[in-house]
Amino acid sequence: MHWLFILNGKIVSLRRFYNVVLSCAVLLAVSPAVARGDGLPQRIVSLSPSITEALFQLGLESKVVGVTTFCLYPPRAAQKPKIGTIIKPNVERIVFLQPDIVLATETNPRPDLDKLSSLGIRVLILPPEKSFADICRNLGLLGKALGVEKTAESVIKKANERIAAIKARLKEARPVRVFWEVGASPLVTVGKGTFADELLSMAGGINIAHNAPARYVRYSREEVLRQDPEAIILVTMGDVTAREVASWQKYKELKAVKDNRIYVIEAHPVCSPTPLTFVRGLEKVASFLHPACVRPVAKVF
Amino acid sequence: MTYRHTKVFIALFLLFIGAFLLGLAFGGSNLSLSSVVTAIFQPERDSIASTIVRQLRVPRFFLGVLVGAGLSVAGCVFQGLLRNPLAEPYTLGISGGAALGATLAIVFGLPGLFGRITLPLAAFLGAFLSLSLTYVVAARRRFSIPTLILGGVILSFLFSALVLLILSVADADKVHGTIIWLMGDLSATETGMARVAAFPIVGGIVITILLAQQLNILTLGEEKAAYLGLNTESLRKIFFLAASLITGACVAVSGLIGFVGLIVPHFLRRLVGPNHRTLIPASALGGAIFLPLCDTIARTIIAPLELPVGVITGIAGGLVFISFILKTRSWEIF
Amino acid sequence: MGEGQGGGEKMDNSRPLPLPLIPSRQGRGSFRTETNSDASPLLKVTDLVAGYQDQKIIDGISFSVPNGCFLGIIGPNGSGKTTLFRVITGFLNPWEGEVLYQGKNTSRITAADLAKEIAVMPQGLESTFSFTVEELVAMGRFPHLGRLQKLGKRDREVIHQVLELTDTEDFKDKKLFELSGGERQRVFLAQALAQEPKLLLLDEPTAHLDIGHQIRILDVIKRLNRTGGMTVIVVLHDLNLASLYCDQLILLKDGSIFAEGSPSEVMTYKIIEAVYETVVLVNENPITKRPHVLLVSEEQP
Repeated sequence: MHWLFILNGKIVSLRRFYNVVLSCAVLLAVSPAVARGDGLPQRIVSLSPSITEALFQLGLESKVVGVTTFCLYPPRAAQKPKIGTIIKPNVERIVFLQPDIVLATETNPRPDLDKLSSLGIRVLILPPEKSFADICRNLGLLGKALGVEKTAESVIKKANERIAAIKARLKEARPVRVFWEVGASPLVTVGKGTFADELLSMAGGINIAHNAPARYVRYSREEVLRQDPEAIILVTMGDVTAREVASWQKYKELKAVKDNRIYVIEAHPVCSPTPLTFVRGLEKVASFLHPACVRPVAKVF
Repeated sequence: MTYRHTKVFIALFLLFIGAFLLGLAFGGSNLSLSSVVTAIFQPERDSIASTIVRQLRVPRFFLGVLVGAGLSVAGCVFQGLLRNPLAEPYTLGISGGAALGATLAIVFGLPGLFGRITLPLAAFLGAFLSLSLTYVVAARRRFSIPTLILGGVILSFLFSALVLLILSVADADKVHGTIIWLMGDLSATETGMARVAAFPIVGGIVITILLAQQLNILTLGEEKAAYLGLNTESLRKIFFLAASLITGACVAVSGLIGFVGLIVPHFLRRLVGPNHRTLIPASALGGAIFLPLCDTIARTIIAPLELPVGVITGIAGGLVFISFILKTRSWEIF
Repeated sequence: MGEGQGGGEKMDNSRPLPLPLIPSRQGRGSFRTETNSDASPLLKVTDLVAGYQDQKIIDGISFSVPNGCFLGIIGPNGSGKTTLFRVITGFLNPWEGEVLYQGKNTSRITAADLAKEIAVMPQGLESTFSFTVEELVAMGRFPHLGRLQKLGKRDREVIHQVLELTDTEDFKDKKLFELSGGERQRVFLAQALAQEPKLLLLDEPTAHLDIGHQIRILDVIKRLNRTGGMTVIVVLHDLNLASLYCDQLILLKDGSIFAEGSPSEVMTYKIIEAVYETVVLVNENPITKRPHVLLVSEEQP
């Protein structure tokens, strides 16, 4: 599986390299069948919303026999049989569905996955996604494991083309300093090493928390005021959102408030992305930050 | 063993059989009762039903038996040892240490290193660390009860704070894993692991049953126990280590399952009295019924979603216990 | 003092007393003749110094207790009675000096061996859990049981007899919580007697009891002392009880022996007034011919 060591044609930082080695070990340990290239799976259980969505994009809808209760996209996915939640999948229900393969992420509890593989069920654990490249890599892994490599490649290619288009349009644009809020109380934002951070910079923004000490991090409101971002993007948090917008509007001196640049975006395309949803999210954020360059998208999906 | 005790033990044994049958019959999937029967008597006829019943439900039931019995006996011993009916297996900080171990393992991604045994191993090492610290602290004061309690409780706060510290800077997806672990779970543990854990748990239970009369005498207080010829310090050490070992092994294979170790010994003390010779075996049996039963409820009540078993032990145990207290004259509670 | 002193007690005087099982009373007599006595004393205490942390409580106490003696330790609050008691029982290690039981230093005898010979009833006995009376008394047999701690026929006989002796048989199935203070104290006495001790040590066994219970408890002990030859050392607060029951008295003041001897030697008004710093009258009890202390208030009645 030498191809795993090289991401986007270059060997990346040591830490990422370590991650890759780790994932490689995980893949080898858990699913030797994948490496051997046995017969293609016909009954698939997905333990992650982004994997479920990717399966639908890869045209494997009919093979999906079980999804988590969190799998809401595309809407048809919600009608598939449920096997519990991401953090507490129901092992017995999964066994009952007799899958050929269970697709998982590291967020799923490891003991449950071990139990499944000890019962002879093939389990593929996708490595964590910290960048667009990771998202594409994981789609590639899925394609390889499920025999739809060609489709996966074309999806990735299409996504990359749309990103290139956005980048081209933003070439002249001055980057906008943005506070990206993913949780209101406590106030949580993202630092570097997340695809949200990457998405922001691709969309012509600068994440003011880029240098935060962790990937998902509590942030002080005081620090936001001090940094005075030009725009605030709230990743929607249900009914909290309206109150949260109002709470920022109290600070009349804030540049983002004066210019009326507080935006709300759905969590789905920016929180559990496939390459395609990532691009849709990117287009949306770019249209917020640079309405002159990027045509606003009416609907995200 | 009086006539009353015999009756209680027969009732407990019948309940155990009942809990076993329920545990076989109900689970997370809507397997019909007839397939369950087929799976038991003709496993070759329905391989999926047979896998579910034999490889999921039966091991899960027996893990519940092991952990339920272990936690109940540990709670019973700690209550006697500390002469405090509010004591439970986690009073002396073992939970905090185990949680710290498990959290470190999950957050720093160690499961990749040693495979399946990493998490139980880390939890057990954490439990061992906390019990060693409590031991060192208590040994400086001849294992006096206030020192044990104070040392254990303070260490448990310290470890909890460290767990929160790690969780507050850790990645969100790791936090989920840790919280699930903290809530306790009987579903997934490898049967091999349960077998390994059975040694300290069963061994600890046997030791405490053999020393039951000594534990009875210890509840009279250190001074009187010494006058009756007991080496109180070394006995307290033995009980502390045995109960801690049991708890550590339980926590390692199932996470932190609450209430069992508090409620089961209380309940059985009401039924068979405080004499540890009957109370410890009765608690073991009681825990071996209560926990698997709660687990069966937890995995069926909102299937396919599973509730953490601690939710059911807490609600069921709490309600039963409150109704008990309301019906009882005050001095009979203990 | 007659055996029938117990008033309403339902004691069966015709039943042979099983306790203690040593054949005869010997060495009973002059308390201060140990130097030329053939029979070595049962207990001998030499130059005891003891205390807690850095506070010295008792200082230079020596005495010896012959077989069959009923010795009372009296003294005001804080004079070191309980500390002396704890050193004798081995619960507290002396700073200096030694305690010899049958000529052997008690610190070299294991607690288990000591418990076969000496029973101790400390102050403030309680039970956290609701053991029955019979269970509590059975614990007194512990020092005599084998590895498996199974009660034998003889053990049951002893338990039965001490229950009868202390008049606790009727409520042997009750829990300690259900009994009055006097009844509880009798249960703990039965527990100590179940050890079949040669030497019984009691620390204020009658504290907080009404006069009826005081007499009942001490009568049982006196009876075993006179007819069974059990040696008794009892710490008492009440001077008149001490006078009534003890052959010999040790009066402590500030951690040292102020006076010792028979009750009539120790309980003179001069000694009592000097130790307790209050005015008293000492009479003679017309029935027992023992000294009786009458209190005098300094206020007008």
